[in-house]
Amino acid sequence: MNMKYRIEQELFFLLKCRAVLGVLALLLVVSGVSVVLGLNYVAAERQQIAELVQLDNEERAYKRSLAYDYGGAAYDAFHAVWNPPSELAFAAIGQRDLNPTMMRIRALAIEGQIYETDSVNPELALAGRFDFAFVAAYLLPLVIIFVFYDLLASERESGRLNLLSVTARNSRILWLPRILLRFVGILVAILVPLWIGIFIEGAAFGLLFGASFAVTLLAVLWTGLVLAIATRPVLRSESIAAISIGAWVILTLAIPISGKVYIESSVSGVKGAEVALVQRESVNDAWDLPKSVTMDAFYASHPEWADSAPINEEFHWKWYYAFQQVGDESAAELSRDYRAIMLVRDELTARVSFLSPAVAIQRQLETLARTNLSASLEFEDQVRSYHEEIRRAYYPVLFSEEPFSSERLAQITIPGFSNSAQLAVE
Amino acid sequence: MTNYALKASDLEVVRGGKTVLSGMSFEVKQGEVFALLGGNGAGKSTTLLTFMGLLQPKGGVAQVLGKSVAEQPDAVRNQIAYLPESAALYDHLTAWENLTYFLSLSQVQPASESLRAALDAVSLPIESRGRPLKSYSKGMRQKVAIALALLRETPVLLLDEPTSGLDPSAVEDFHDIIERLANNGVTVLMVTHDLYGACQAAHRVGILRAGQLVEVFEADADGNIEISTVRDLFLQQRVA
Amino acid sequence: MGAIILIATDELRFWRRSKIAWTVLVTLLLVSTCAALVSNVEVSRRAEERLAQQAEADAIFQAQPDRHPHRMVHYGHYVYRAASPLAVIDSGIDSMVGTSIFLEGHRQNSATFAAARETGLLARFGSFSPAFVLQALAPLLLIICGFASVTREKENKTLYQLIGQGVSGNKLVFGKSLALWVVALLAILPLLFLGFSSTGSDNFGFRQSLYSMTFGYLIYLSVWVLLIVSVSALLRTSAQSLSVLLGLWIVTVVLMPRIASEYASASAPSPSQIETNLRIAETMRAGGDSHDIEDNAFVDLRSVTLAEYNVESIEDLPFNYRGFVALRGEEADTEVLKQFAQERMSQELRQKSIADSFSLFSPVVAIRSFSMALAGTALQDHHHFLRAAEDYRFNMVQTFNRLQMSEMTLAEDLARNDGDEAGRNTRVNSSNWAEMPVFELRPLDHTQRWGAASSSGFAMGLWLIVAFGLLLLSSRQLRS
Repeated sequence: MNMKYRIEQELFFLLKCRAVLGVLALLLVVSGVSVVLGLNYVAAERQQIAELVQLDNEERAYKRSLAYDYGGAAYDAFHAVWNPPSELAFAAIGQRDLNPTMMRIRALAIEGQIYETDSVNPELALAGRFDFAFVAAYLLPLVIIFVFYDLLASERESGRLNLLSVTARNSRILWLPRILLRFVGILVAILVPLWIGIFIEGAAFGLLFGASFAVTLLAVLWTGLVLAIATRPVLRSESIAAISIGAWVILTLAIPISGKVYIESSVSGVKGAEVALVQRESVNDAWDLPKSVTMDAFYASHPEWADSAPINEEFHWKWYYAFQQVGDESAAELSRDYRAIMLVRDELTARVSFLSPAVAIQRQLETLARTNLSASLEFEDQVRSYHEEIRRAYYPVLFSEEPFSSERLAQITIPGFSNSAQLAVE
Repeated sequence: MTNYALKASDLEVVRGGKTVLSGMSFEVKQGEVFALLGGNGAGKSTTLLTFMGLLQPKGGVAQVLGKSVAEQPDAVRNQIAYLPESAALYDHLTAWENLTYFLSLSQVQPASESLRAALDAVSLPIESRGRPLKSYSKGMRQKVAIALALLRETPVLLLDEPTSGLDPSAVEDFHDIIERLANNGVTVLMVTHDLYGACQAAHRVGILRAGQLVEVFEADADGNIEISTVRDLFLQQRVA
Repeated sequence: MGAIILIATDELRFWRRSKIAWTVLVTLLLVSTCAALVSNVEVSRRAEERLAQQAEADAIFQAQPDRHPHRMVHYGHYVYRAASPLAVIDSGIDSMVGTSIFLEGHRQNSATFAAARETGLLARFGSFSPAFVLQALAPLLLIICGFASVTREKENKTLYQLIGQGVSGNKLVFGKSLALWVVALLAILPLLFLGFSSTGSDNFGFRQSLYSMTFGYLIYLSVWVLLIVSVSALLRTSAQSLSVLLGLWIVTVVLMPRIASEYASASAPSPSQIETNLRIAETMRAGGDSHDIEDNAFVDLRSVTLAEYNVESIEDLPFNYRGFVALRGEEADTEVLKQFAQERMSQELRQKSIADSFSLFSPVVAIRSFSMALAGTALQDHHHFLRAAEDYRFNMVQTFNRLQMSEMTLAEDLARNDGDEAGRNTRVNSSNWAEMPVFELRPLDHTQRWGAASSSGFAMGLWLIVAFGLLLLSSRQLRS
């Protein structure tokens, strides 16, 4: 006599439980819908990026054809930068819709350009996204509660518990296959759509494994919690359900929201708007300052151009770009603080995730999908260094004051923006 | 001498802070039918649950075939079949499915012939066997539960109010089955408040009162128990 | 009526003796009071912060030295969005949109730096506001209180006794609903107190909006009360009733709002900002560069103006022609910008109305929209802020352009880069900056807010009717 027969019988039994099957089917559908929505979202983003790159190249070429001085050419030359969705982004869109994902930058002060986000409809954004991470964080625990809350209580309340306990050689033989099969059923229902999505996106096995592991861990945690409540012999099934739902409200709503209130009130500091303000003030003040002040500041950080000819005119492009650069430098410290504060908030969020599995799974999935804060900041770094590249490309012609020629302009080539992540466009 | 199939020595069981059994002792020989008769709250179900290993005695020992229930619950459960009062089975499964499912719990994979034989033995109508238990009468459910007990082929059978809510002909059928089992050497312990049923089916009847066995009546040579004597004592203690 | 009250008091007595009901009641009161307090502190902190920021921006602006007016056009100004007094109850989209806009010539910047981005991951978990408590948590707690209100009577077989004693099915379910409704009222009270204190002195009808909002929440919770009692009366066991009600809660509260927004953004996708910016640039290019009076786009303007003033050359005009071109150029630019902004806003409103149509599937979608609109924290209020900021921007820029027209001659203006002396001639006294009126956002008034809320209000009315119908249906089922 082996366990296989016992499991077969339990599987047959599960297939006869219509309520449980219904809930599992619902989970399967909801998870499938979230994956489809996520796939559509990333497909639309890639489409937009592809269009942007195309438009961007055309527009820049056109503008360049009109140029009659280097300064003006640089002023009009926008360069597209973008942060393509990763192969797992469909599962955890995270804050991608609120973070900058694509923009066009030019050789002016970067602090005035880098915070430009795509405009989202705030009322739609408020509801939050219906992505796989949402299904895992919010719905998976609820499904687990539904499937397990009356595991024991329903047998006791219908008077079968004694017969079951006496008939089974031991309680492991009775409960283990029952719990295990339901647990596997839940995992299959939530994970299969994810796997299909990952297969379509061609993500690495490591991502598949990582995401599945995180979801499984969450499911183990919740199943353990619900079973701990459900096996209390004094509780009726309604009480078990109420207590479990209470735990859900605390873990997925109350703790994250309290965490948010705590973080927002305790971590205050540089706001993004202040960074932009300081940079603007610096750039604007420069118009009224003696040119030497700006140029000295510029040469201090760019000694290679220090022997450039002095400026006598009221307006000179090299002075213009110098004060843009100085503007960035004056806001650099604030800008670093701004980032630091976001990182502090993120660090505190990580602590909240120890108290709330819902936060933990979202963080974990967003990390795997590279839709988290550090991915966004990494993109920002890439944009900054690309922006530096653009500046460096124009500085030689500006500061050596070469006479304008379209041939020389044509020699100034800036390779297109490239991401560490691959951009796949179908 | 340990050739008793069931033995309770000085059992003391506490449930929810209340002493339900105090110093109860009795023995049941192999192949004997022993009925415990008692009113509500006398400790009947508690006795059964203790023998099933679902309640831990605070003092004393319950033994099944020489093994202590408290010490070897798994081994003991292999030896006993149990017939619950309300024949609680799964309503959404058929008789056949219920039997296979429950037997899988005791790790028995029955052949269909033996299933059929067991259902024949309890005379469950053939046309009902493929229908979910939802549509069954109480007597029919009871038959399925008995079939389960038969299929387990255990040497000991524990019955909880086996005849309550059954119509007279079903009771008659039930007693026949018990008698057959006993003749085959199965030991039966039943708890009931059905005075007449107990006297008819059992070889010995014990009267349980406030967690103690107050009197045991033994059948005479013809296998009969004097009902009136038992009744007098039973009613007398109820009044008291 | 007597029987109804009797049943209601009986139910309340049962709760008084039940541990679960006590827990629920205490939790509900605690949570809604806490939410009120926390929200009050949060919102007033944010409001003060913005007031301070606006004051600082105004001070910096007014402290600018003497300048060429067009420099001020590019220097620009910041305006901040003040929070609505009812944001303490429902902060709505407040954290999803930027709080400030940078205003400058020739451009319409968007409101950047939404708090949600800076907060990070947790921003989407909802906010601890009275609105969230009432919309999401109160129904859950009502369910836990009331799922067994009728099934309990069935399971204990007391239902047949009640009916046997001549209590009709209707009276039974009305009584049960009344008891549950008392709990709902308790949940709403903190909202009323809070709203009352924060709308002390305003003249934009926020007090009226508060009343309408309270009424809306009353209807919303009544819908839940009626649904809970109906389900309890329709089903056989408490366990079934609880499962169905929790399922209903999950679908309507957790799933539906997200499904509604996903559906809306998928069925009416909005173009990306970059794409729009390129289109705007293209359209504006046709209007010419107003910094350059020789731009071909202004040939007509020049001849028309010369003819109107009956002069030979632009030097003879009674004003600085460069300023005039800037004025007209800004007009044309603004026309284009407004058109694109209008397009964007209509698109957003279209998406919103698609999302709102899910009110028919979930009362939560209806109350969300209703409550935000009345709190003055909805999409239309944001659009109102954007329009006000745009008007302010236009007036500011045109004021500077007029200064450029009147305070210097064309010759002086053209020679502005020829040395310090010439530069000084084109600078305008800084006292002019201080004369610019400060930005003050006049919120929408109650009628406008009510207008935006009315369709969701209508949807809630429908829900109330449906729920009431279901209750009557369920009571009929009890009799048989």
